[in-house]
Amino acid sequence: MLSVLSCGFGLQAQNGLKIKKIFDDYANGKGVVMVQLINENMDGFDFGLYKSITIKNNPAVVEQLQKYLEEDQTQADKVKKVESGTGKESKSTTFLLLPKRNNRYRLILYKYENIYKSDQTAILIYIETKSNPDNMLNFILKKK
Amino acid sequence: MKLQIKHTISYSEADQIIERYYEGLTTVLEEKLLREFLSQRNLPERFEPEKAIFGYFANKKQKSVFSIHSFVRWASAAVLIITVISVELFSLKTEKNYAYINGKKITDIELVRSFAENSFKDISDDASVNETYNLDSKEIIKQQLGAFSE
Amino acid sequence: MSQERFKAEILPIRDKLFHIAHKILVEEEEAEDAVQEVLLKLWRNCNSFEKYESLAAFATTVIKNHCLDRLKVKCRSELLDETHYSRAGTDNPYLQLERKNSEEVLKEIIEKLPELQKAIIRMKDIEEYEVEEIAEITGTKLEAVRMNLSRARKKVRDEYIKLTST
Repeated sequence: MLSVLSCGFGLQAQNGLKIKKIFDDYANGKGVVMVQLINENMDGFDFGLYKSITIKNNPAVVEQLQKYLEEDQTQADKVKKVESGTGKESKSTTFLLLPKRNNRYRLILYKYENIYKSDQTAILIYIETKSNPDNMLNFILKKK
Repeated sequence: MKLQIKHTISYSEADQIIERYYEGLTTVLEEKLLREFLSQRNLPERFEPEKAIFGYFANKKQKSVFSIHSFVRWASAAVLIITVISVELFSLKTEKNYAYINGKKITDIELVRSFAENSFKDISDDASVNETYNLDSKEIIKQQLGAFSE
Repeated sequence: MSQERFKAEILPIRDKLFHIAHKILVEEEEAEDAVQEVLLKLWRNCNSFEKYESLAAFATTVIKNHCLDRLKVKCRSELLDETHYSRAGTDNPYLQLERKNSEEVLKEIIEKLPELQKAIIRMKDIEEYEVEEIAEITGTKLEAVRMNLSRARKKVRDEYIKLTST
């Protein structure tokens, strides 16, 4: 009964996005940090829906995540990818702007980082916002 | 196991402990004695506030550990369980902001916002702080940003 | 996470946390209360995770957010000239209704305590921490915890008597 309530809850405009499954399935996993905010305002920016998940050292889940991301990417209006690094260490960041839904912009941010002899970290963020998406993107990326 | 206390403290002893209680000086044992004392019936009226206060705290403690010693306790425990579950259900319905850290759920809004801020820091890095991003064109950029500075 | 571990991680930056709080809240006593509130909050919420990045770094984010929130509340209540217990009074319907239910009364009283006092009462009277433990977690002197505990308990008693007398 409890799980029915939590499932039916507040994930409306993620309908049709594969990455939703990552948030649903792995939120309370070991070594995972997952955050959800609904209808919050931070520093003047609208966080109508904010979800983030950070997964460390779990290549299987990361592979799954990246597959879902590729599928969702086909829906995107805009895509930006930044990659760097050599074989031993790599870092890639992807930003997607998806079509507006319910009068809100939808953004996906994803970063994967593989540090030699240390952690492999994947962080996925999904945002629905009324704020200007470029401004939102810059706000998040410059937060110190 | 519940400790059987053969005799309870006297009224004047209780007065003294109560005075120390309000000074924040009582030990856990003294508070336990006081609690036992205050659970008696027919106490003089002057003990009413403390009886209510200790009763309230004892009730709150019972929410995490409930003991079954008599039919009366069964009944009140059942009511308690139903109350707790309905509060849980209600809060599930209204909980919008939360974080899971290694499987543990946090609902304190200040902490959740702080965790969100932390995730911004995680997704940005030294390089991105100095750049301005825009999603103006459908582009895929590959950049060699060079060796990691860390 | 053990208390030892918590202390070892957090207490070295206690001064830094105070500094941040002081900058935002200006008043020293308020800043000190804010630091203690945050430390207790962190302990209560984070003591069962093994390792979440740097708890110390996280704490600096929390103290900043906590103080900004406190500031908002302060500004709001100064504007309204609100006193927490302004509803007390013999013609108060709340009083009449609630007279029988002492538990409801106490619940409200405790809810309305200043945050630090509320946190200390919860840890001492409900969760049965020793005063020494609370002092360790908040990095304060025993006397300071006792004083806050004493204030809180007296406040609860005084308000209870006020709200339940005819």
